[in-house]
Amino acid sequence: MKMRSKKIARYLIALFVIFSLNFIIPRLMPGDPITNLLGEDYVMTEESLQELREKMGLDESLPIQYLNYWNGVFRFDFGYSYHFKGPVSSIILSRMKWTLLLLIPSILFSAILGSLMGSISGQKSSSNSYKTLTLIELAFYSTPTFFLSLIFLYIFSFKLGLFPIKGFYYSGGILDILHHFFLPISIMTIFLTSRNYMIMRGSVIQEKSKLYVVYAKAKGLSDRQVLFKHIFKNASLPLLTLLALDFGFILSGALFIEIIFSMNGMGNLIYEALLSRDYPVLYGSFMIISIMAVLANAFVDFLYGIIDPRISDSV
Amino acid sequence: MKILEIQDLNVKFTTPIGEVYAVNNASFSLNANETLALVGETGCGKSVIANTIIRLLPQNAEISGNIFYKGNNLLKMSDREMEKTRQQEIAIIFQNPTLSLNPLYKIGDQISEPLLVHKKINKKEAFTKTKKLLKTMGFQNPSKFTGMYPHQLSGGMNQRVLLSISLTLNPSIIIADEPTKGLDNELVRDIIEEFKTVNKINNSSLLLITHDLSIARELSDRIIIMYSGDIVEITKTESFFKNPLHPYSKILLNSLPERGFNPPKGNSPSMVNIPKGCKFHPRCPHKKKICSEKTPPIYSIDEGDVRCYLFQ
Repeated sequence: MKMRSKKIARYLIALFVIFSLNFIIPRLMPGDPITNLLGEDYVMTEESLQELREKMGLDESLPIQYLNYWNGVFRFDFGYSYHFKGPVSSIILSRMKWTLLLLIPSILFSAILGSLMGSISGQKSSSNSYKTLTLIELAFYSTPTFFLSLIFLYIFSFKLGLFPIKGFYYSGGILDILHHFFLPISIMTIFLTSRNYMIMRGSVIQEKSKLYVVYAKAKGLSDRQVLFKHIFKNASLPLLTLLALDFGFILSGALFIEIIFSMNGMGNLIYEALLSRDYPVLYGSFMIISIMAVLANAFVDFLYGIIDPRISDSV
Repeated sequence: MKILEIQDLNVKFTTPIGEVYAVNNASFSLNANETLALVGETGCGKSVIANTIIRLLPQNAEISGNIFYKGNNLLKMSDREMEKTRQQEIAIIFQNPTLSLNPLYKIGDQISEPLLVHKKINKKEAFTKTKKLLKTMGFQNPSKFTGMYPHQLSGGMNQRVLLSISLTLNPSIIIADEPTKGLDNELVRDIIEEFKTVNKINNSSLLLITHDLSIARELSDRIIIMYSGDIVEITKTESFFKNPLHPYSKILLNSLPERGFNPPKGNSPSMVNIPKGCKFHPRCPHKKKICSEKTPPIYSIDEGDVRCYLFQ
């Protein structure tokens, strides 16, 4: 119990530091914040500048600004986007769901596919057919997602005409959404599966020479029982760790796919915000992504404690 | 009655540094209800014999010979049949009890696993049996221990857990591979007591692999001495300690603390460049010319079997 509260405290501190950095970094930037926000091409009178400063609370001292900033954070208020013409939080929320719709199925499918294929391949690591499979997975793993997306778009959408190339501006019925989502989710799943496959294979090869595996065989378990009753659980621990550590990497892969398939998710939002120098949206997205990363870490940490009793006993 | 009979067993490993002849022309048998001790220095091939019997040697092992268990040749069995033989007929306990157990599963699940896999009984029955076994192995409060993990128990406790597992299906043979390795004297005494308990409640034969002569004396009926992959002597334990036959056996006995603590001179030979003829001849006080030329055969005399030209 004491352990758990310690862990929660650690995550809260991490969030506090991230949020504070998000406050400090923009204020360390040279030049006027308003110019930073609006871009240098904007010409404004001194009065309207002053009015804007007051409206945004920039006329206050830094400590007061910091308190106001936290006040905003707790009310889920990340400011106003001049480019998208709306409050940042509602813009991000409406885009977020599409990113999650791409991420969650891909992470789930790839976890199942990658760990199953990887563990069987790891147990039969000397078989030639699994060596070939490893080569194929390695090729997928080494291909950047945007390149894979372009190839898939070319083959399945352009040449074969099976899936839409773009047009994700409105959401139709469920079938329409599925039609649009099929290629992005497939690519994301293929990419993540290759990664999970490589890790799981290596992990199983390492585990299978351990004494408890030999002993499980000596108990009269078949190869399949040894793999799924004993090796699998132990070998999946590194995979779990990586899922948390690599969350940012997974997300960036998803963002690239979104941009290429012109989907209405976080990827395109960040992309547009970057091009139009929409800092409030960028900071808001940065915060949401960091919260998601911290939550993913906390979740894996929690799972780890359930799977490996040695972890929850120590630390 | 012979329950296990090993005939002309040879085990060879192909390794990057050359071929390793781990076991050469080993022949012996294990009788029903008997405790047979297999004694020798580290690396003499004791554990290889144990793993050959239950067919758990690594892929690079080359095996020839026969191992008959109740008339069936274990080396010719299909994988499926072998899976049924393991644990149900022949159970093994490895050297390192804590590493033998899966760190992520509770003790209770690991003990009841053979019952669930082989006997297809329900979980509740399996757990009742598990608790009963834990109690006979000296766990006062079994319900508390079934929910614990291997890392929460001491090495000695895990050893007793392994003993409980080996008893789940009443196998005909239990192979114990160095059950006392790395344990302190106190625990060694406990383990000896537990093996005596096992002998009492279960009428299985025990193949006890050890480098510790005192345990062999305490527990075994017969004793086999191995040297560098060769069986050099097979005798009754009682007569072995009174009158060892092979020169190596004599030297080995003199290394015991109560007999003056004289360690054998020289080193056991490397498994790659083995000496020609009798492998013990470079260290033997009685060596003759023939010893370095031809490997001696096994001579059967009244007291036992011995591989030495002195008994020609």
